[in-house]
Amino acid sequence: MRATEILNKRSVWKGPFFRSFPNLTQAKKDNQVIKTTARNCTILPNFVGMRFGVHNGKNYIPIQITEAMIDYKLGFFVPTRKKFSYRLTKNK
Amino acid sequence: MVYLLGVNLPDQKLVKIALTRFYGIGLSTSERICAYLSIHDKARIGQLPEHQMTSLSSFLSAPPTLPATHALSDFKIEADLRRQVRSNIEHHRQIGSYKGRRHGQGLPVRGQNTHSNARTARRVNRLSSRGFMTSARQSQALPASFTSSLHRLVSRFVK
Repeated sequence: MRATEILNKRSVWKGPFFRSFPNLTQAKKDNQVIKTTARNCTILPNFVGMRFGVHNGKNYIPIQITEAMIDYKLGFFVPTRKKFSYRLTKNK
Repeated sequence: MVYLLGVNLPDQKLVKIALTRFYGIGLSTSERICAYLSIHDKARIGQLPEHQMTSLSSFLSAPPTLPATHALSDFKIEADLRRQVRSNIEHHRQIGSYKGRRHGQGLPVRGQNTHSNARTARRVNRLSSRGFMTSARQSQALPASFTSSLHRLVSRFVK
């Protein structure tokens, strides 16, 4: 029953969608932040422990990849919209 | 009237209808349960013989382990199901995902518009421990001069 939820996401033969980062192994060694705009890149098991700077449309927001984040997309953890906060005056 | 696991099942109701009073049982699930326990489609709660009543109550209180392909394999009701739902939300909160964030804000999670309304989300999407967490934070973070409505507005966005 639950299997359909996962299987309906995408054809199995295609595998997960991801971008290849050319500097991945080097960055993993140096613990560098990989800046990327590929928000739609699936988080793969070999990303765990790395740091990504994910673009939110304006800045690159650093996130630390943990094991629980596998199989979600990078953009899932970086919001693109600012929270509305009411201000009485515009000058503040 | 039969009292089962904290739920009252009225005598005159069909069994498959009465079972939907449980949190986590809809019509299709209740029909599956009736089929599994060989309870007749038109049987009413009051007419159920003793052995079927006990098998029903034992099924609900301790669901048997069924093969994973079975429709009732991950059958959960009431407190167990509520706990599962809460832990699913809590998982998203902990990994800091968009879903968890939307739950925390009391806003729709699946991309619905929020320009107006979004009433259901405001009613449903709140965290279980949120009530006293935010009240404690409010008193620390905000001066008392704020109005109560502004308090509520801010608390939705203060994490």
